[in-house]
Amino acid sequence: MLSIKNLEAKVEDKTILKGLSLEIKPGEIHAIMGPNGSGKSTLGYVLSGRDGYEVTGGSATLNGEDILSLDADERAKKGLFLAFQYPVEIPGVSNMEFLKASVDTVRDYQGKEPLDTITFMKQAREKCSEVNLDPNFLKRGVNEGFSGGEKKRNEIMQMMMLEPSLCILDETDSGLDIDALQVVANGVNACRDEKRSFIIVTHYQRLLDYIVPDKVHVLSDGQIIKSGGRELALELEEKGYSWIEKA
Amino acid sequence: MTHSFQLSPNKLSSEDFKHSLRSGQNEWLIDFRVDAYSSFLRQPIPSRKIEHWKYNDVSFLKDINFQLSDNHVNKIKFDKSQQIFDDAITCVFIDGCYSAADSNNINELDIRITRFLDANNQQIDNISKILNLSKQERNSLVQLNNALSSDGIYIEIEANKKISKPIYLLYINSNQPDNQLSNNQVIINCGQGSESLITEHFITSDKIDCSKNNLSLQQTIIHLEDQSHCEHYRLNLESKTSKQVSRCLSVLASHAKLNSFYYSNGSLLNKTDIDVYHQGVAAEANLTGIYLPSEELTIDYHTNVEHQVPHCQTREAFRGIVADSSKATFNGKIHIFRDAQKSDAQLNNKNLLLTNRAEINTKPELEIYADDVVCAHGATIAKIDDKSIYYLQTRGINKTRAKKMLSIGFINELLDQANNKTVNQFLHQQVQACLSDIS
Repeated sequence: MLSIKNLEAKVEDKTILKGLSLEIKPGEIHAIMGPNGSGKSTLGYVLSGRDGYEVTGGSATLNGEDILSLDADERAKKGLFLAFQYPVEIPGVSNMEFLKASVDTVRDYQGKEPLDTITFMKQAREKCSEVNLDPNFLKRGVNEGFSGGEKKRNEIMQMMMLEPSLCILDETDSGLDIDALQVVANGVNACRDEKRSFIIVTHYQRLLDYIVPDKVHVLSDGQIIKSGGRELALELEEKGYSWIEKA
Repeated sequence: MTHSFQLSPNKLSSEDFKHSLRSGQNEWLIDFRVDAYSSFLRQPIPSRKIEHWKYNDVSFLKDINFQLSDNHVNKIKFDKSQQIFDDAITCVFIDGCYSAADSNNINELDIRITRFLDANNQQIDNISKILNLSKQERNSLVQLNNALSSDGIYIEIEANKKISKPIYLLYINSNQPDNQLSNNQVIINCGQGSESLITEHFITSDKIDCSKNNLSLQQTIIHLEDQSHCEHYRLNLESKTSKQVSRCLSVLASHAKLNSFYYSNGSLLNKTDIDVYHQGVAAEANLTGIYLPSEELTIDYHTNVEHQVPHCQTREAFRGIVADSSKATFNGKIHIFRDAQKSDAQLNNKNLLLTNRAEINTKPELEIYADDVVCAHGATIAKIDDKSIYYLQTRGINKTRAKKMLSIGFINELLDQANNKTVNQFLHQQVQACLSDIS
């Protein structure tokens, strides 16, 4: 599924990823934890293809195909999805119009049947209710005036509509109350199947109570310094990151 | 009566100008016209040295020997499919002159459309009164238009009536013959408690532009009596080489409400002065404007809102997307008079620059002499937000399309202020077409 080898990347001459390697098999959920500034969000940006994040070494392949040379939209079409920590607000572009354009493009690329407007609307409304979003949100500008929690749920809603093969959730739990956290987790769990993989970037092990990971990795200074099962998250919660960094 | 006219250096004196009018019709207009001409003479010829004209290239004006075509309707063919409304009270002007043959439904109930030439005594009084409100010393070409107005159209909307059909003023520029100076004067009086929808649409009949030395002058005055409501659109969609200097003045009496919407794609010279005078308490004006110049075209909106009396409200929002090497100018002024307490005015102007050759000159101004008012103003200039482009890209939408969606989105926010369905649809198409080339 996803294979990252010795990935190095920099932003404005500052090297952030310093030889990161990660293997994710179909259907697996990997959690990435780590202190602030360790490169967690950068990993998401580099994998999704954000301008200004320059890959200086290593490789990343999705389903055997190199993705690092592709534009961000090409990667999305190939099934990569990034749920943002801070989704942007785009007034004037309605959620509906945006989502339709997105779904149409991705489905077309993947050779799936296009959704007619009625089916699309029906699906969109269903997914909205699954993540507890009022369907009227679809008529509003993209994320415009949404609360933090609504923005995160909107990201999960988009993920459900796009049916990606690899989902990267960048601190989707931050700023969520417990109810919203559960809604998000339920959304993710509903999307789980034997083919779809997840990278869940988080600071806290709390989310991992709801979304049970297959593996937990600790990212520090641009490298994975420790990997383990879900018990690693519990241990981190107890002892803090300094426990590993010192070791 | 056709005669030639030079803006400089061989200008007629006021005396000679007056003399030239003696034999004409509409003698009751003579004093007003001579007065306007004197005002025109007092002001310097437009050039970049004058602030009002700082961003317009009007150097071509000075050497042209303009031909005036007084009340002579040029013969043109125009494609009726360019009309926005199928069933409207339609007044067509060709090169500034009213064309009765092309106009339609002008004898509807509750509305009277009269040429100045045919006005009765009471109408003459009203027209004179309203014309006198249009005096100003800011734009000499507006005064020139007043001076040259040997005729005009006076539209009266009856008190307490709602005009169900849209009032559609279609201004067609034929772009021929060469060196033509056309002028036009429209006065609309919205009777007390009346409701109306007025759409002004400026087009060019001939897409192929061969002559370059035309200039159109135009003025519309909307006079809103007590408690009248007017929804007004002014759409500048002339061909690229057209040159127009115009003014739209609205005067609001107490509790009058004006929604005025401006749209322009730009041309070689496209300058509109927008004046709104709040003269009655609790009047309300909403001004919205969209401009989308591309190539090497220009657009200039100068707005001036005067709160002359207390308790009036103004909401003004203009947005532009400036592409290629085009140039836009926005100067928005809100002037609160000393006695205009409790005025509530907001003005903002937002711009997107699509290239580093595009130019926007924006200047929001507040001039406040009262001490108990709520006023705000602001302007922004930006390029399309990279983060937003990236966000759309991560959802599979390519960069070009993302830019287009974001640009249209930027404009959509204001486009929804165009309440009339027909105009709204028409504008959506215009915006789509205009922004389809973004890459």
